[in-house]
Amino acid sequence: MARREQEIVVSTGAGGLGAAVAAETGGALGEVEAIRARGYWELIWRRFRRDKVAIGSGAFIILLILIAFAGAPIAKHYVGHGPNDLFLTAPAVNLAGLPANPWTHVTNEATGKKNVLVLGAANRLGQDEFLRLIYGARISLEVAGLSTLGVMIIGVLLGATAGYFRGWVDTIISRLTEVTMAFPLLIFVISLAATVGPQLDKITLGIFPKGVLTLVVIFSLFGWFYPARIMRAQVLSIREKEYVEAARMIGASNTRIIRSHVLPHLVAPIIVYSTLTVASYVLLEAGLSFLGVGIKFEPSWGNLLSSGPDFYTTRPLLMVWPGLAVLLTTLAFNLLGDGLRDAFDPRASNM
Amino acid sequence: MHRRLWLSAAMLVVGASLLVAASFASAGTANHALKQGGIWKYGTEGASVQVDPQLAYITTAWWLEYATAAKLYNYPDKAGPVGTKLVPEVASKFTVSRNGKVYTFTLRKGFKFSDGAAVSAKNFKYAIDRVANKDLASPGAQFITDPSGTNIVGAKKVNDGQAQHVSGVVVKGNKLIIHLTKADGTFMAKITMPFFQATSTKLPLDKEVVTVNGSNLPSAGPYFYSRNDVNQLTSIRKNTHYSKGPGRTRPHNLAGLDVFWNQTEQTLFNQTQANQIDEDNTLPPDQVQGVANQYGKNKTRFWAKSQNCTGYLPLNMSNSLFKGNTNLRKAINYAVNRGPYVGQAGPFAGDVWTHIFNPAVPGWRNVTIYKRNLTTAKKLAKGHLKSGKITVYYRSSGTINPAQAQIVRQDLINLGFQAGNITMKGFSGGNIYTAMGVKGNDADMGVSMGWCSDYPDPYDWINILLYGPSIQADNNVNYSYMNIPKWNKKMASAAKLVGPRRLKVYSQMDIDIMKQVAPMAVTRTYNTRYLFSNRVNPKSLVFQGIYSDFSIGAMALK
Amino acid sequence: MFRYLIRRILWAVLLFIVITFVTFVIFFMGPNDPARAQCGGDQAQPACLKLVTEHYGLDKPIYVQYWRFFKRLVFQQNLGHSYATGQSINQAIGKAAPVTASLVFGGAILWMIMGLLIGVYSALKPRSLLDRTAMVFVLIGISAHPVWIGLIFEYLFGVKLKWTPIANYANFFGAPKDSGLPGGPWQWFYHMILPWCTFAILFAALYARMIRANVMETLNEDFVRTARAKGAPERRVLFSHVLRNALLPVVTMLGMDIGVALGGAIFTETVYQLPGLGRSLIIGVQSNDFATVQGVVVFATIAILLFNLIVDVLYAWIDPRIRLT
Repeated sequence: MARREQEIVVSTGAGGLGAAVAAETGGALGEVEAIRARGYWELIWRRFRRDKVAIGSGAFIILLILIAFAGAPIAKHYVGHGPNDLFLTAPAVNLAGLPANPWTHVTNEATGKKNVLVLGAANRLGQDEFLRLIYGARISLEVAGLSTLGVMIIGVLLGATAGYFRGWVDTIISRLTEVTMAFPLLIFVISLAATVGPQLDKITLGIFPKGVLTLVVIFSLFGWFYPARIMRAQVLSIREKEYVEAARMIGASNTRIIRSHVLPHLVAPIIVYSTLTVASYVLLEAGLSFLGVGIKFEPSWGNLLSSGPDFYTTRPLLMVWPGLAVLLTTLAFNLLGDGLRDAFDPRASNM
Repeated sequence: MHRRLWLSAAMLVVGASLLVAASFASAGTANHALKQGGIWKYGTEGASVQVDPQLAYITTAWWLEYATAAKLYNYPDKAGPVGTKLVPEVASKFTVSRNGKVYTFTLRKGFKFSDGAAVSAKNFKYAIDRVANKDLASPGAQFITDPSGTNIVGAKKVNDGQAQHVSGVVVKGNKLIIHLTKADGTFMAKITMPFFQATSTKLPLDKEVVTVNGSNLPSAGPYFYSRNDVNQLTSIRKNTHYSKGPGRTRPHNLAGLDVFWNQTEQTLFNQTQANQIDEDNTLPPDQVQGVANQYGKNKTRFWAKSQNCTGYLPLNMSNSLFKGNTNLRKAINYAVNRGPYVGQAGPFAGDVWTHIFNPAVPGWRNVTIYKRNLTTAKKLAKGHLKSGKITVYYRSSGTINPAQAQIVRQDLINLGFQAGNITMKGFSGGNIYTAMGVKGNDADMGVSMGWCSDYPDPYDWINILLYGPSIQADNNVNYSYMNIPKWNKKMASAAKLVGPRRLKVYSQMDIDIMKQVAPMAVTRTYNTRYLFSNRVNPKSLVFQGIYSDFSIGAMALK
Repeated sequence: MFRYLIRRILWAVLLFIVITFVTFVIFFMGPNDPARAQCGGDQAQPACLKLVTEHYGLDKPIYVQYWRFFKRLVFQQNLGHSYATGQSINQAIGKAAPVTASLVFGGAILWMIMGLLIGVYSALKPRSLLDRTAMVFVLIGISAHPVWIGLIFEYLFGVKLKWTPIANYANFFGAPKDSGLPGGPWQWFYHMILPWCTFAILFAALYARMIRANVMETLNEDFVRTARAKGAPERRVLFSHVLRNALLPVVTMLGMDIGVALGGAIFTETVYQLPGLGRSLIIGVQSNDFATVQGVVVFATIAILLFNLIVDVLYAWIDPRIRLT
């Protein structure tokens, strides 16, 4: 599931350069600067808008977020039970220990009312596959989104610092990156999640389901080196550019150079890379939960998938739903990422 | 995900005299109606086990050792209580000195290793030397260097690396004399563990035998290890030098048995159905009901045999919630949804159970003390939830344990606990036992816990699990922290009883404790589910209680 | 060159120490009690726990234990014994490594073949039907979960169509005599087909995309145009000019990815229940068998460091400028 940096060849387009030069001249040309800066983003938006596939993917992701955060509680209200509610008696789980087929009517022990399991039961606890699937979207998005945020914050800070200041700072950070890179990543993530996972699971900050932050912390801890390397390379090339040299010559401070010359040029690669990273963390979360070291009680696509091998000769549909959900979501993020890259850098569009 | 069962270390607690049957005749005899010969193929999901007799320790390993070992005294290849009584094997008799510190075994002639060498007292001394050896690091060393239990003179010195041979073990002709530092009633039980079998001096003193190819691991029992490829194949074959004679009466129908390690659940199941594998005891849970319908239970090809284990939820009586709160403890017993709890492992994984003695414990009674009744439970719990907060330890590994934890959590909610006030703490592997074993831990109850015993005496259940004065700082097994003077006294006096009266008193105590104290919510019994090929003769399946599996010696093909 | 090599090796040794030490720390962070597994698991008795704890020095500070482990590893090449089964870990890894190696190298060959075919053909005929189909494959390949692909394959080809075995491994060099186990090269191949396909899809997709881009870029290079202008046959242009230049970075990439792929093998091994390193790791993690986990980590780390070293050296050999940095 490694995301290679070769894919992300995002150069800062000509518009970016123009904007930067305009920004530096400043003062009387402030008017011009504002217009031209807007022009850069407008140009990108125009290119992006033409890409039907990327637009579709973006719409799908927005829809998914809506379903996960707003649709799920509505569905819960509508079917009359929650994703974690247990239906322990037949027909939700039959006498042979098999989960119910789609569209089975069950009696809710708490309310005494008849409820329906739209996609059947997910496991021997008789939990609702349909609700778990749409609540699972929330966990997948939270884990993937926050992990991406985590690796990007650490990665961009370290990578940009190393690239900008070079010297001993760069040496230290580069060595650290190299050490982290040499770790057998997945093996470590699995060991960590299994040993310290149950302890960390307690931390929810009151809003996140149990286990989400555990995975976020572990992923961030071992995933930051990819963005760090990319950002370092980007910053290294930017700081050699003429306009940075020019800025330095007229006596601009480091802070000012970073704020107005370096950071704006990192926005494009950060956005593109983040989008693609989200996809890989959706996959990783599902993988870990499948192995039983990720999310446990709360619904996640990974732990839904782990019912697959348990019932795969008797209830093969149980592995189809979560797998499809993962496929569509990662596909959408990958396509969106490609679309964004093309929009930022039309030259890369033949990729 | 399959529960690995281990032989309990402190197997035997009461005097060994109780166990050693006087009758020589009760030793098993080969049933000549059974077919002789053939190789039995057993496939398992598990990783392979150690075959070195002084290192083998876990259940599967001892199952194989039982077929290959010749011991001073041994358990017959019989089901039921007969199979749990020691009978003389290589030793014809033993005497104990008056002070109880010197055991003298008189050895028989005629036992031979699979390489043809005769078994003598030296081979038993060699076994003890190897067990005590520092570099070999045998788990058996704990049983002969225990200052408060069995302690053979000189064993500790060898274990510390200061000597090669255990000075307290002396060979005099056909006599083996063992000196203990102090009298010990459990000695016979310890010396009959597979660690102390007749061991060929071909085995290096301080190096483990791992790969076996033909003749480097001779043994003197009915079978011997003919091959061992780690994680692939282990074979035992008939010991051709095991001829009928005094002490050599154990059955051995098969020509041999092959164990295929690291196989896969579904493939094994298919192969056994197709009669390519003879025995599979890791059935895919969703297939169990199918074979049960097809073959019936314990008749032909599908068997479910109860292990000597009871599953329970300990209720911590030293923490504020359950302390002096009999009503709530009873309420929990009424509230737990045991059916689905057991059902998480698929059909026939065990029975719903509500008291401590499972059907393998002598003196057990078939009663149901707590039938699930939420109304009764709520009535009992009302006003007794104290702060309303509860901490539950659960096991996080696999899929079955977390599922059981969810069922219990739901039961607590049904009982009146607020979902937000239930703290669930997960522990991977067997760590829950370590955590619950620390006195003063914050758990109110534990889920998916259980106790297994291979020693068929109620002492190992009541006194070991619930006797108050034995509570220490950590490594406790009294996970309920029950410490009630009245009951402590009863337990102490019951331990001294013998014969039928002992069983009667314990049997009543089991019921009374569950009814009056309810220090735990007993949930289930455990079964091993077997599928056999059509080559297997079901009449030859003899369930040996001590080793919790079918005796290899008794097995036969059709 | 020699000095560069020494520097890389020293760096690899340092990495190795750091990684194995961190593994130690990870396991000491949890409330782990490895002695318990050794003493009969759930029913461990205090006497045994004490004995085992003392014997293995489990009560010693972490650096002391690490030093013991390191000494044993370096001087005896011994990884110790599994806490759960008592088996020698060297032996267990010795049995598991060929399974993982079969999977990873077989998978690598497969993904290279697929990647090359798809990548080169779609680069030569951009925007054709073939190219579009290939790009759909690439997208699905990088988006579908390997576990899911495995489960679907297993169900479809193993359970429903019965074309392939459902799971299990067959030894390449033949099964033990008279064991009745499947063995030999053909059985090995037959049992590995599904795992290879599952394992290769992700990388095949990534490589197809990379190769397509590289080939397309090279096709536009001046030297290709020159070769064509000189009237060289199209076949020669393709093989001796385009592919040679387009595939050079791919080959070095492959060396690094084989190390990365070791991790991905965990999923494939779990789905097909192959008795490889990944499955040993999962079983070890679930039974708190720290010794086994550490064994797998050590082995995997050595393998990855070795591959990286080979790549480094190859790189330095191809591009002499690197040696100077």
